[in-house]
Amino acid sequence: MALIEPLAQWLYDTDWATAIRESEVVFPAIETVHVLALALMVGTIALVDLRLLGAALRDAPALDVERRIVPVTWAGFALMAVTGLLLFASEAAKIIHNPAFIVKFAAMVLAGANVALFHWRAKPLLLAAPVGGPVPAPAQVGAAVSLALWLVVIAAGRAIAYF
Amino acid sequence: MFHGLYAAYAATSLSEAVRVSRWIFAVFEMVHLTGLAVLGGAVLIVSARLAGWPIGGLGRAEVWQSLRWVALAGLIAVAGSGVVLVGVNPLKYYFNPSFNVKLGLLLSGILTALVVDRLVRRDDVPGAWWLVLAGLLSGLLLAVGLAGRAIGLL
Repeated sequence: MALIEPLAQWLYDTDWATAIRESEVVFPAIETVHVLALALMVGTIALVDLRLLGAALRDAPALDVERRIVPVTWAGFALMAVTGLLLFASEAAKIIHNPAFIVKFAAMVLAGANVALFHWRAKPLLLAAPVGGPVPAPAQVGAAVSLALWLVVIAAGRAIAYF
Repeated sequence: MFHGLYAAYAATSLSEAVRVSRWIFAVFEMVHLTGLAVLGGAVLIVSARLAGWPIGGLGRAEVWQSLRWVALAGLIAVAGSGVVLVGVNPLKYYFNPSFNVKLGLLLSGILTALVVDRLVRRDDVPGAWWLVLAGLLSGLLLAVGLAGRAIGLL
């Protein structure tokens, strides 16, 4: 915290963060894009996870589904990250002490680690598996963990306003 | 007609519970947003496939049949939680223009989905129709999201 607090205060005091915070239009507009981008990103992640779990698009090879949908997910992530950074900066000095934000941030870090783990451990198994065959268990575990973590991100994100 | 319905809802114990509790509204907001994400993901990919975007060698009908259940689950979460959220002040929602626009857009989206459901197995549908239906489905859902955000601002 000793390192983060001065950085958060510096961000909070910048002219552009102040302008966002004090505008009656800009903050809600950025927040709207953030929520829609989050829906886009999590919605497409959920489809890939559901495919890995065998609950959707079962007639298509899991890797094909992942290859087609993940670029859309990245577009949603880019939009969410940019708008999230702007929203964070405008409230930085206060929000770093918000328990819901801390939970949201931790869940996002864990979700990122889960993606890395998927590519490191589970995807090679998926590549080696017969096309159209059952999805290897580590990939399914990664999908279930992903769904759970993104639910936490959404829930904690909404809870920020209540703390 | 609908004014009486909203007024009756305001007098229910559910509406009172949403008003009094600090957390009921928050929890159902989380469900609402999660439902929107699930619905949004499914509608986006279905729309893309209807418009001709290939996915895993699946035809339009296969993608629709697989993802309509996902979209329906998202819609049930959005609608169910939405009913509870309105309970915080039903008459305020009744008079809110953004809320009424949102309901109209959502209904239009459902009707569009029903049209897709009727046409998707037919092979005599002109290609341009799929582009129109894909644009309507995804455009209406985006508009629902924007109208939803505008509820608190108007």
